[in-house]
Amino acid sequence: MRILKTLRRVDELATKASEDERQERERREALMIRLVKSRNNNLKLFSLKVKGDNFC
Amino acid sequence: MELPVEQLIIGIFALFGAAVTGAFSVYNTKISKKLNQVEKKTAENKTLTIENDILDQIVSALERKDEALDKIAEILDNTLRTQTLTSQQLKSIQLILENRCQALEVVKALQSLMESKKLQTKLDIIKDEPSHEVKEILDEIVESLSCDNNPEKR
Repeated sequence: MRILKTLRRVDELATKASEDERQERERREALMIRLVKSRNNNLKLFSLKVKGDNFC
Repeated sequence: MELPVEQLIIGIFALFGAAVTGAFSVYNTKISKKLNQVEKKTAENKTLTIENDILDQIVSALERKDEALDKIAEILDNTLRTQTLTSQQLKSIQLILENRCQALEVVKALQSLMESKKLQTKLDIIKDEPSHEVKEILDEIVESLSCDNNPEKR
């Protein structure tokens, strides 16, 4: 019985760790999307600056 | 005849005992393996969480900077449209830059640019306007210069 309890407890811990990992991966994905969006904004700004320089 | 039966019973118990020990050993190995995996995954998750926290701070800062730059771009766009840059707008740009980029040099350059532009406008008027207008403008420039040089007149 004790062994079974221990096994079940370990299984619960493994499930929790997997769930935590999934959440963190999703969070990372969302952050990376925001980061890429910000980078693209800056690239756009830089491209405008270059165009402005050429114009001048 | 009794001896072999006893031995048989002992043998059966011994076999049973060995089987139980084997099963325990298998369970033990299984639990140890799973525990190791859980420990490894927990450590990885901790690292992932810390990295995400840092990334979150960086992304938030970048977004605040983007927002500030967008505001400045909007002000400059309006300025270009109306061909004016009020001191309030300049102050606003300065505040945004102070808060977000610490680029006071840009503001100073903008101020200097505005001063040059004002002077250029006055010079352009001098070229085109009749002489009495020119005299007025020149008087104005002289007055402003004398005010600049003499703080008491301000």
